[in-house]
Amino acid sequence: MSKLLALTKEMMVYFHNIFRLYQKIWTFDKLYVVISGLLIAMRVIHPFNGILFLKWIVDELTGQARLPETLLLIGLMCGIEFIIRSLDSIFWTYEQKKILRFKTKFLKEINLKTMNLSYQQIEDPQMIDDRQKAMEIFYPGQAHFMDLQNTIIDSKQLIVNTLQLFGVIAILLTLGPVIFIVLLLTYFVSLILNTIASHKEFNVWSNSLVHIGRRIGYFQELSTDFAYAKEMRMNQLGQWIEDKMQYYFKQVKKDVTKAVHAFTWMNIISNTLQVIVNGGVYFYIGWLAYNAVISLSEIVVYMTSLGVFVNALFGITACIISLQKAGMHLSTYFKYLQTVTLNEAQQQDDESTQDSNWSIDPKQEIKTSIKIEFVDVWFQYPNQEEYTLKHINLTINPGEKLAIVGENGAGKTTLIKLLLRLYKPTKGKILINGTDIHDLHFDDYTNYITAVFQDFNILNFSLLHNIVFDNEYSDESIAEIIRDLNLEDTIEKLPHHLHTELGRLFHQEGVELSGGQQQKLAIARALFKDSPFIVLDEPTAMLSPKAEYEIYTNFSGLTKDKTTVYISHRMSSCRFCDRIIVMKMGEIIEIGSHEQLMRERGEYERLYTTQAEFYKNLEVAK
Amino acid sequence: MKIMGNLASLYKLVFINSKIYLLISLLHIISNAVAPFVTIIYFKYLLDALQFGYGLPYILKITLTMIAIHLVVTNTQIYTKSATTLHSKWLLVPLTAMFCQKSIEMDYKYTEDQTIIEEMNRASFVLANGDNLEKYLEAVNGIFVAIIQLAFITILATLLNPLLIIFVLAVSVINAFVSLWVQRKNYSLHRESLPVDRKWRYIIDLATDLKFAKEVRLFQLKNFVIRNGDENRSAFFSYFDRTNGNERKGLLINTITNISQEVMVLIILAYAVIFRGLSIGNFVVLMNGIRQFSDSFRALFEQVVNLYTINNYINDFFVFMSRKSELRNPASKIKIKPGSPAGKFELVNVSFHYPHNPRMILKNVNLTIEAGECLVIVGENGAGKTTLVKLLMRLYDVTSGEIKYNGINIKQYDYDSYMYALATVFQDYKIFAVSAYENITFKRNDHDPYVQSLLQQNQLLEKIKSLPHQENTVLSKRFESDGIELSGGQAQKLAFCRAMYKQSPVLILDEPSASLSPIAENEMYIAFAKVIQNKTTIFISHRLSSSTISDKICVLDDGEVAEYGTHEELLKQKGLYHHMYELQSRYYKESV
Repeated sequence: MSKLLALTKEMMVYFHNIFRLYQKIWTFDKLYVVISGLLIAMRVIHPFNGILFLKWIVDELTGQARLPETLLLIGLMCGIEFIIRSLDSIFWTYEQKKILRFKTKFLKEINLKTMNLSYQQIEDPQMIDDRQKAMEIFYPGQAHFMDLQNTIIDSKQLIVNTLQLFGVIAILLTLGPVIFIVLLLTYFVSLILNTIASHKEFNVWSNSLVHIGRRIGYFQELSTDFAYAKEMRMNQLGQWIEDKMQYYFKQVKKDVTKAVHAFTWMNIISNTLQVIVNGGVYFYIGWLAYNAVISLSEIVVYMTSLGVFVNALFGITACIISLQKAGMHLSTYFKYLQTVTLNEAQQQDDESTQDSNWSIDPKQEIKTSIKIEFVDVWFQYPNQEEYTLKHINLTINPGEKLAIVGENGAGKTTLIKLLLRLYKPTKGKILINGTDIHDLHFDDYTNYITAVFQDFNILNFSLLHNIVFDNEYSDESIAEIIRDLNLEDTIEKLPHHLHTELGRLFHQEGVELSGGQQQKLAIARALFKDSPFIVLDEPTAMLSPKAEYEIYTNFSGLTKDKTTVYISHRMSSCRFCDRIIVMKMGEIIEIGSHEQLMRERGEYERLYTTQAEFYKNLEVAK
Repeated sequence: MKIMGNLASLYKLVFINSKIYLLISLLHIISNAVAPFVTIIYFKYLLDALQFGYGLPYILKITLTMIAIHLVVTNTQIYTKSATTLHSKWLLVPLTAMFCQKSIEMDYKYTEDQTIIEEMNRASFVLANGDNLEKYLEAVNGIFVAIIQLAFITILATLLNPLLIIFVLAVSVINAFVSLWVQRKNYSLHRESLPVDRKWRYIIDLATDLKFAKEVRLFQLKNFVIRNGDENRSAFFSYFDRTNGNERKGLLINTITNISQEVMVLIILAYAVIFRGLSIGNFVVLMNGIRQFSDSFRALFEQVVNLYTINNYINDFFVFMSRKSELRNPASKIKIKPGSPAGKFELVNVSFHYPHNPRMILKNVNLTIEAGECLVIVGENGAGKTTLVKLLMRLYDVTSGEIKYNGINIKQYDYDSYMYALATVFQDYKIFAVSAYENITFKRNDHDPYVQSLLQQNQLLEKIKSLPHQENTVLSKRFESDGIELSGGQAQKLAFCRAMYKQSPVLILDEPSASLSPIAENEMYIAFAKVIQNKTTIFISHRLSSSTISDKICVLDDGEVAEYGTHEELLKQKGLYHHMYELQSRYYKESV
């Protein structure tokens, strides 16, 4: 019983979500909601048109059997039918159009929300899962499992069917109170049984099968994603993939089959009950007619009504299943939209205190020179026991060129991510000209700082858009950057020069740039942004020695008066820098210029000489 | 005709994988075909009984018979519906497995061939997009159901008036033509709109995919993404509104024809009652029967259209599945035995260009790699290094010339055994969302001392031991909350373990050290120096420091072997290699 209560409560939440959905749609398009209301009324009436006229026609046929009167009745019935159905068709197409637009609006909200969330938030697997669920209803991906279209249509159908059911019951009530009570009881029992069954059914299709579907989907993705193609072929993983699929399949097969049996049986029980009760009512109607209590035409009315009754009942159950799914997805959707971004300072009322800190216009001050301070910064990834960064105290002076070196996993990239506000320090503060960077608006902050990542993305837009995105630009500034990066020849050779589409996803004639060219483009993008602070995370890993040499010799020119932070594994690149910090196990262990650090004979010297050793050994061999 | 062929192939697969499905769908068809008639026919008997006064026991008898039949039929419907859904979902598993096998065994060159990629994507619609197969099988069942029903009603109605059925059939055919006309028109619009919709998906990815998250935030791409999305959608809406308009037209025409049919049928029936003495029972039966006829005919039409639409995907699936591999030539039977010693590679006048691009990537390359030797290949970006290695790995076959392994053209080896003889580490190595153990061995979890020693050799044992389930820890958070993501350097070490586990005579390394720190790089060289002793090794590297472990160096320039020899020889030549080396080592030498 308590289980049933919990179920009811859950359902209430789901239905409330659907109500909220309509509230939202109301803000988008009031006319649509009003028209929907009218349509529901029309649909409710629809079956009664047939029932009523059929009674009159049969009355006429069994009574006086006059042809003109019969024809009139037929004409009237079909005329009304025609009007209802035409309106229905027109509305159906109107609704399709509207739903597509609603979906787009809902998705846009999710897109905006996602882009406003902090990097740390969207990296959270729970959040990713939530987002996917929230999106699924507006953007059916995998199995067309959920669709806003069904939700909207089904929610209306539910109202229509329920009202019809009452109408039919009112007609059947004239048969006598006993019949009415029996039917009502059947209705309730069936509804409860069907709801429980549909709940089970939903769990099977949505949880167990989606779960295994994801796993199987992963292995399918491995086989078809060409990034994996080499690995798959060289290790001959075909059989392995098949085994894995079968393994996961066997894991769920038994449970799913059992669950399917369970809800099928419940459906069968409920159906049996209905068939028997309906049969009894049929017989009762026949008995009444036999005793001439009711006429032939009334039999037709009752029988047809009973048919509508059964259909409405089935309709209600089907709608409940579908709406339950929708309600669940909508829960995640509403929750997702309410997620507070960690990018902006938490409370609005903090603003007043912050404002006092900004005695001068913050932008003005910062644009000219940037000083970054790490004050005892600690950082711990979520769900990890150890701190990835410990005790970070560091000042980066305006105009400085700083290199960060260290082993893989020493925390270099994490440090950069904190600096870029992709993560927030667990403890400690990062200050920009004395203000905590997290007190600034995220968008303002990103004006001051830019980065070239190891795993940059070239987007499937034109080359120019890849550099400027939607910012304004002057031809000279673009030309200058291209010249500085030695990209002139490359661009000259492209079919539409700067306006060449990159990537073949949307254009057969799109161009795929080589790794080195892509990397230069990523650097161009960062230079165009012209922020006073620039971070480079292994910017030359994909370049040949010659191209690398070019970039480094040009770079000091390119980043003239900018504060620059490099991460690099090639010690040679550190020589361009004013200061080098050496990281180990999440801590800064050495800071100083190349000469200083070489003299100290510490970690840096070790790293440097290991790399130099290769060359020295080769020299000696010579 | 193709539909028949595909149906046959599909049902053959169904028969192999799930014989029970066939039985269940037979029941499904019968119960669905019969279901609507149970009450219709009961009405006839009931009304007739009342009109002609057959007595109460007769009414009781027919009611009980009806209840019994109805129980059997509806419950069979319920059961077979669940069962067919379930079984058609289960069928996806073997089909998906087959598909995956095929995509992995497909020749590598096809992975860059747009037409095959598209064919493969469409083929995967049978699988990934969930309900296509289900719908296809359902359509087949539905067609049978509709045909049985139509036949039944035809027999019923002809008894009364054959004209009636001809009339109704004509209306149904008109309706079908109208729908067909709408669908034709909309299909071409739909095709035109597909690229627009694909771009929309890309834009959504930009906004939501973690991959793009850093760029979106740091370059403030919010407005850029939203604006592009809005533009894309308004383009899509204009397509959609046109298809929508066509649909509306079709629906209205259908309404008109349906209503006229209804009017005509009712007039004919009323006329028959009044002047021909048709019983009320027959009147109701025929009225409902004819409505059912229209429904069945529409269902038939819709299912045929469904079958036809999905058949495109099914067809792609079977075409894809039957695509022949050019690399796997059954005539090549020479096997390389596991554990055989390292062999010698000879490249004789090898030239190569990619399919669909006539530009020669490799030109007349002649190169010998002695058994057990380590060759380092260096050169500018785009010089052809990776391509050369791809040829050795038989991801592509040479355009002209030949590659020999131990004196035999590599094409003559059995493909699988040749693959077994090669171990590789790529720059873009992949870690799978399975346990660490399985990532190395690709076998179900087990304890293998050899894996332990490999982990030890690669300085990974300590890390793996610290994980929650040691080597059985899953290396991804994707499915398991206690999964672990290895750092770049650790993952790379794991990739080395994987390559070593194969214990193959040939080792191919494609820039494996690009993301390693100097210390880790050094450790890698030390580890490798040991491992490669008895192996033929080909090593692509941008870092000339890799020359420390090399026997020979080959400098590729624009697809040709520009220089070849030992490190000392090449430095003396004062050519390309010398220049590259100077650039890289300059800064180190200054301080020495």
